[in-house]
Amino acid sequence: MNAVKRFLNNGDINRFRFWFQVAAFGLLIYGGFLAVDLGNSLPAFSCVFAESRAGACYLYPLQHQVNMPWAQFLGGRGVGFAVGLATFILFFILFNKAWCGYACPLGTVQDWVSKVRTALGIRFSLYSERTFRRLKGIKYLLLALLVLLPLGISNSLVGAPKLPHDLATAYCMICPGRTVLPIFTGDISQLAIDFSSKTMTVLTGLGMAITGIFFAGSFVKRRFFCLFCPMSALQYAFSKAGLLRLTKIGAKCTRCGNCSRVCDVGIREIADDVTSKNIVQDDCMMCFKCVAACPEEKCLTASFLGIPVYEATVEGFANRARRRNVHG
Amino acid sequence: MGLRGKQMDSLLMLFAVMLTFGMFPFSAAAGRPTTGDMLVLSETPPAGHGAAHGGNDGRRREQGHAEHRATAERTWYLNLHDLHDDAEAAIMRPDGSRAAGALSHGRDGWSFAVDTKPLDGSRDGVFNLYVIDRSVGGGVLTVRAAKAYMINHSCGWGHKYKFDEERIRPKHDRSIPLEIVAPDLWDRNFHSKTMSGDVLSVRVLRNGAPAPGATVSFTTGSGWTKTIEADENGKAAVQLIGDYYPEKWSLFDARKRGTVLVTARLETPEQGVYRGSAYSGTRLVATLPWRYIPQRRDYTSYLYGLGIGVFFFTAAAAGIYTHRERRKKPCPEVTFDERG
Repeated sequence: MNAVKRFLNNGDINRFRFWFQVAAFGLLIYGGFLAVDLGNSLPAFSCVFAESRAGACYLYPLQHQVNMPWAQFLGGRGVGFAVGLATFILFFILFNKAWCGYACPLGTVQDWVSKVRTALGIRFSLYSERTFRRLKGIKYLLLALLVLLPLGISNSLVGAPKLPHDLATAYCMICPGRTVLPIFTGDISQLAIDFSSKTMTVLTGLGMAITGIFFAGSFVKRRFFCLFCPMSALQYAFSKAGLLRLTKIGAKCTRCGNCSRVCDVGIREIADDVTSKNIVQDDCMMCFKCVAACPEEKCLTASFLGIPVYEATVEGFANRARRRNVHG
Repeated sequence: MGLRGKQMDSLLMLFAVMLTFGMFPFSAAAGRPTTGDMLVLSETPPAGHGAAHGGNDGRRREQGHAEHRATAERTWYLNLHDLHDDAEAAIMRPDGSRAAGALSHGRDGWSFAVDTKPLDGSRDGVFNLYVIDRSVGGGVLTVRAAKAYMINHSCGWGHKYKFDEERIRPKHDRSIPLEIVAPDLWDRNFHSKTMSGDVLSVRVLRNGAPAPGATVSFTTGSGWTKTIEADENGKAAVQLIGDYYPEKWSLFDARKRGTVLVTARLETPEQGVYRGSAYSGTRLVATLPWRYIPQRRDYTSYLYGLGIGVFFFTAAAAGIYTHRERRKKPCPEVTFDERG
């Protein structure tokens, strides 16, 4: 057992993650060809617009399910909404926010774009702390709109007139997952602007604008879109119940800052917070690069059902540094 | 006191006229079909019904935009009232099982209800609905076969039959005297997918076998009609026209449903006796209604989409480059003047 633990702790998480992401991408984008159907409540961007998907991102059915009159929430359709949400929660707590770091196809695409930048020798960009704090609130705004807009189609919210039906899946219309992921199945139909109504013209136009910004942003900023992702905001509400945990022993932290420096999203609390045990933030994608970069024995630990599966160790850090020829 | 001679003659004349024009019930029962007596199934009551009794009954309204929102029971109506006593309705479920439909005549004319319970996804797919009416008149057996495809689907059930070819492909019933089968009307998610401009291809079957030579007509709601003859495999195809041109673009509805009625006619020299009436020829008429929406390319543009994407990519890239260049601090240079 100790040998297994040592092997895991000395492992290169980046290489493991790369291949896991390739496998997850293949499964979620092409799994439908093998009749794989993981349902409609996946906590990752397995986009419904990719015909051969193995399951659907929960945000799409969520928008459909909340699009009903208030009275129906207590009826059969309300049960359907509750079942969908419960299924999403069950899927999510299994791997916590590692769905983002290891399974999300849109996240994987961003990582591949980052690799192109690295291969070209172009340095990545970082947000200042002030900019980071301002931008991270956008995902909560998007999550709120994602729920309120469909609700406003079937109900009059705060006395306002009911919204047009074209707003039924407004978030999906602006999400870069809708435009980018179907391309991998040979479907470019989502790249067109829909002029059938003013609402659709604006939404699809906004979608293509965000797609353009997505590629530019992902090229220089690692995991650019994840800071704005409403799925990340929704997941964080249930993160504390996750079976997969990322914990820190603050007493062992020497504030070297390695963890924060390697974080793709740019979370500083991993390094700054020496009091909390559970250090998963709303933007964290549990890629565990911070664990790999930590030089202090068992300061950072990834555990599943309380069993450590990947721990920061001095030996592991030294081996990885030696492999990359990086000092300290 | 009896009728006088001239009055009797007038009455007899009137009787003859009424008999000629089929105004007596038994003349209708004798089975002489009127011109244009095709039976057509529809989810809305025939003209003159339904709207007069209020259009808010969800079971009467066609599902419209909520095509994939299943309900426990759906009622289908026939366009004509002259069904005979032995007319029969049949239902073929998505799994191939069969059931009889109970025809009833009410204020909305002839109709029958289709039970789609349980609503747990086990009946996810397409129902085939049939109404067969037979009559003998003028020595000809006339068989009218109305058929409809009813999609019973809810996205909440998931799409587990997505790659189940048996479930997706349209089925046919060998017991139906003349049937129109149309593939490619729905996609793998059981959403109807026919658009204007698409090629609508059908196959005409006579008791499950191809019916070459059948006359097939395609008629849209706007009145456009094309009539062709089925080939040796019973196949006929036509390209649907685009016939939706609202006066103003603001009135355009991408979900606007056009209707197309496919009709197949076949005459055969089959002889026999039907309910005590001999016939020396057979005339078969089958119908299949469907719907289509405007073609996507009529209201979408790749040029604008890619243009907007490229513009914002370029603008964002330029902005990022400029920002990064401006943040570069020049290397401080210290110069010593040794002379001074």
